[in-house]
Amino acid sequence: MTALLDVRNLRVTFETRKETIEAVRGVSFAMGREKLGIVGESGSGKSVTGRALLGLVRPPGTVTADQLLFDGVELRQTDPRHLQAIRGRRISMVMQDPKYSLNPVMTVGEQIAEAYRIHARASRSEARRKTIEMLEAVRIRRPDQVYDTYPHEVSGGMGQRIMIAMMLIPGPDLLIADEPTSALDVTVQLQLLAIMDDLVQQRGMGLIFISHDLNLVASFCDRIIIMYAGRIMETCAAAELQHARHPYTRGLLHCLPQIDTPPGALPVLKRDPAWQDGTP
Amino acid sequence: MITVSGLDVTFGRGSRALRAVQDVSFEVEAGSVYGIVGESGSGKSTVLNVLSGLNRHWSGTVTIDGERLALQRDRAFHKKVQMVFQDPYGSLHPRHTVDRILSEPVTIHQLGQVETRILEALGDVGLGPEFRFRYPHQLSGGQRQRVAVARALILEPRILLLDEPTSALDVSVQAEVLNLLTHLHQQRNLTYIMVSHNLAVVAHMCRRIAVMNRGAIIEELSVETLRNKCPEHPYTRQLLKASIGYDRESAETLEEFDLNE
Amino acid sequence: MKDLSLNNRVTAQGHGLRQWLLSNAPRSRRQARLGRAYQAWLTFSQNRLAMIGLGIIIVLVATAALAPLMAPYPPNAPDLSERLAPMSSAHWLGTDELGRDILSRIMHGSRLTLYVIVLVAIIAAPVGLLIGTVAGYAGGWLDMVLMRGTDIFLAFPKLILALAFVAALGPGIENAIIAIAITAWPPYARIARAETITIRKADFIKAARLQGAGPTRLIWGHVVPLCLSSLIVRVTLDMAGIILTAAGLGFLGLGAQPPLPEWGAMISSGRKFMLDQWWVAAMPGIAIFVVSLGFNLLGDGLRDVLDPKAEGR
Repeated sequence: MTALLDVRNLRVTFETRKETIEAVRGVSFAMGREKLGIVGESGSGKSVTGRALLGLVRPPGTVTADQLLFDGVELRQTDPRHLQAIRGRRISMVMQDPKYSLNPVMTVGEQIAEAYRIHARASRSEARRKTIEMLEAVRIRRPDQVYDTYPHEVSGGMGQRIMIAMMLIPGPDLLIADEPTSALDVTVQLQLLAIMDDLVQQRGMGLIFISHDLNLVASFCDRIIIMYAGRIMETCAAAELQHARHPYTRGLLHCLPQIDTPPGALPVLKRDPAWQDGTP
Repeated sequence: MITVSGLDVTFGRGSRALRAVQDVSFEVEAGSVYGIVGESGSGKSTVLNVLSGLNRHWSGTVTIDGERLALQRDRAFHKKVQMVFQDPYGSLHPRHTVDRILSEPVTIHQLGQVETRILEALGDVGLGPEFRFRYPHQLSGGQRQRVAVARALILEPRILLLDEPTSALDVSVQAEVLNLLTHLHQQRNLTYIMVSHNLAVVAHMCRRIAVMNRGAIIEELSVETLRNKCPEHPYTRQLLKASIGYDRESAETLEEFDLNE
Repeated sequence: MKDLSLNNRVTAQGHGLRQWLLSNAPRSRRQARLGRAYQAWLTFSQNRLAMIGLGIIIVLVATAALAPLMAPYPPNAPDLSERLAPMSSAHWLGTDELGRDILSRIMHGSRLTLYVIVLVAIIAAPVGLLIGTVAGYAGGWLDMVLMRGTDIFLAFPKLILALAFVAALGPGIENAIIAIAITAWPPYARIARAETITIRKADFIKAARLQGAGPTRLIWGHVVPLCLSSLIVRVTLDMAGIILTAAGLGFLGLGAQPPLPEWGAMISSGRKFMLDQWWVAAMPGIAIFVVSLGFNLLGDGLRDVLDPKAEGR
């Protein structure tokens, strides 16, 4: 499988007056058209990695990499206009809270239609038709009614479906989802993941699923990357997670309460300072 | 220790009235850990708000330690019942040092020995005296939550209400805080009521669990029943299945239990 | 907000006092407070324009304090032989129609300017803060009553009200101050109320209520410290407007009365000579301009510093 995305030595640094924060420190990975999960706690750099891939890191952040190949195109060298064409059309991003990522003064349908028309020359009616189609694809009942609602009128789960519709309508090859279900109830989460699963499979897309929820990622994705302090600690197939070798991964797995764990103290993760410097 | 009977909470009026809590009744034994689990809109946090006294518009009967609770609470009540909130970033005043945050309840209740109490409280939650004069923005999420626990415990309450205390924390930090809460529970023989949407956390901490949906308790079960994965109500079973992880087939079988989406 | 691991940060190095102030683990209340103040100062001092504004204000205050010592001539000593003299080495800014040295008058006038703005700030800001926080915290009918009252005062343009006041009570700088203060407080009340309404919903307020804190303690100890930032910024930015209003009143002859060297009055009397002896009106005008600018720059700088978003939430 030729790599859809090939990242080598990605580094993201934020320099402010007070301090220098190295959010991502030499991350390398490759992925094909599969579901890749990036798991980490806060401060691990997982979200920043996702944003760096899309060129969404602004000053005072600086992004450097030895290689950032997307489907053969070197993202670092591309001029800003070309990058803008890639962003949204070939790589899309769904974020955590639709409350903040949807424009509150436009109807939901208008926003999706706009997303379509930015990347495809289409008439308004064509865009509307496509939007309704997309809303159906994310299993929204009565899409023509929902078309005219405003973001504040829809629930969280519906909002995320709308976000997915908006992000997938231009037909991207890669979808980056940054904690897309963290703000949702567990049953709504399941439904949303099923929708994402189906769409990604149908369209032969790649999916990067960024989350702090190790269990969820293990059950949803094909492969998992575990990040800590800006570095990758371990990469493994989702099915092999129980056999993970790195002490950080094992520590994370063990300190999670499970429904069938017996009561008693949860093993606590002891942070080894050596992890700051990367895997041996 | 705690008895709730026929609790009703309605927000709004007339046609826009929302019955957030509908005829909820349950009992919590002294010294036990009781869990209330539910998704958003289930009314679980509202129940806690009623118990703590933050919400004064309710009807029904609430009895704590033999005493019936009025809508308004007095100082003695606050000394007996305390609460830990979900968001470690929002529950500490950004302009107050830890010292000020911990000394305030002591001052309000005129307990004296402020210095000793503060240092003891910090020690009880595993924070050394060097944290005393820090501002919240100089603490990590886990440390803030520990301060919140210290603040709740400094008045030596008998009952602790926990509103999703670890939902906003990293997994590794969550384990530490849950261990801390368990340890304090045993050490001081407290009574906990813990509200969460996370079934695993509730199963870990609690002995008895109430499952709420749309304002009503649809099932009350023991933690063993939950662990053996044999709850009775289909909603609970669905919740249990969804909590375990992503399963494509499960997603298909999800029913609507009068849910929004 | 992301809790960036305190691990991968490289903090600025420092020595001695600076290190003590920037320490992340202060050991006393004093160290904590001074540390915060110092960090605020560091942020502020990076802003060049804000420092210029601060400089201007410092010069204003120093001039006001030391006017009797610094001024080359007494402000009210007419010298009819030197009427309307242009700028020279003897009179750096020239003289006015009574031969009084303009530079000295401006220096002494700075006292009046400072007098006006300090009094207005001292009267208006606390009143606005009190009314705003009480209204925002209490809600309900008290909020409505207080806010409608505020709206009434807000409806008056400063200058018109001042005219009315002065017509009723007679001209004079104290009456001008009262008139300006009465129209200055409503925006502060609004700001305080808006902030209070947001703060009221926060968990730390709920936690304090659960500890038994009463409304007074909550408003004074919890709400007010958070309102202060926006209020300070707003008051500073308003200073320019207050100066101009006072000058306007002076210009109309309703503020400070002659022979007080109030800058607005000086412009008024210099109007007649604007074409040939422009310096008589222009110099006090420039002084007003510079001081207003100074307050605006200072206010902007303070806003950047006191904005809670910038303060590592």
